[in-house]
Amino acid sequence: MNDPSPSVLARGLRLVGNIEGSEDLVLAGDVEGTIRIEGEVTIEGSARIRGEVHGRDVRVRGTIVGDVYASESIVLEEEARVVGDLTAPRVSLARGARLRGQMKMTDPYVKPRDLERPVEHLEATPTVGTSAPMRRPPPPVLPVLRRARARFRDGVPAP
Amino acid sequence: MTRDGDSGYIGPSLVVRGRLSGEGMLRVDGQLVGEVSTRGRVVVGARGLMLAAVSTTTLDVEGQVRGDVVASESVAIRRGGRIDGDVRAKEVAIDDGGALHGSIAMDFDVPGDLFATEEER
Repeated sequence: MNDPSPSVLARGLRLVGNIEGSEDLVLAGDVEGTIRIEGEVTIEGSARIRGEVHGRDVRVRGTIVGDVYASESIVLEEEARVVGDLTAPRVSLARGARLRGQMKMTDPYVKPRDLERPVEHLEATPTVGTSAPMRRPPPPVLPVLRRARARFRDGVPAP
Repeated sequence: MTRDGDSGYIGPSLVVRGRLSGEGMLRVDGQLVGEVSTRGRVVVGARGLMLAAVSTTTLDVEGQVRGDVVASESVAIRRGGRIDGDVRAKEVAIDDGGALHGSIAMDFDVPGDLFATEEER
């Protein structure tokens, strides 16, 4: 690490390079490079970042083009504009925040839940147009989702 | 939410399989497997579980949704709620304690020069 790690990169300053350190950091200027902080990183509304951001907690109010990683949490506030992936145990987005990227919550509060009644048990229900009970089990859920995914992939269908 | 003819309600003991479409609001406290396409607001209650692709104006999730979501207005995931799938909407809000696993695509602009490196400029 060549440069000392600043606690504030003021608005009006521009860094092409990297920042590393263990204390909290506030970015209000422009950075082109990687930010790797063991504390909290706050990206202010005036900040424009091009590169990766790593922190314990990352709070975003400005613009980032790049992936964001946090060991605890990522919070996107109302003015946040992010193009990149977010990876952290917990991620929250305020109304107004804008994101284009992959969301990777590594330890979310809520885990996926399974169907309480397995779909196969519905085979006793007659299908539309027949009076006899179904002879073969209904197809598993996944093909339904795959067809639905393909249909929605190309854009917003007219509701 | 009113239980009039314009609003759909899937109670906690119901399992609905198929393609649901229309104009009205829909609240799901039970299980829905298939597709949902409606102009009205869709609410998934805390006990609700939707294994479905969803197309709507507004989606409010307190339970679970597994499928791709397209919302012309907004998607809100409350504490305890979870979406597994790709989300396209004008606005997405995820409360602390909510979860999303998948991609988010919102339409917005970022200053063009942020996409070019110093050498490229």
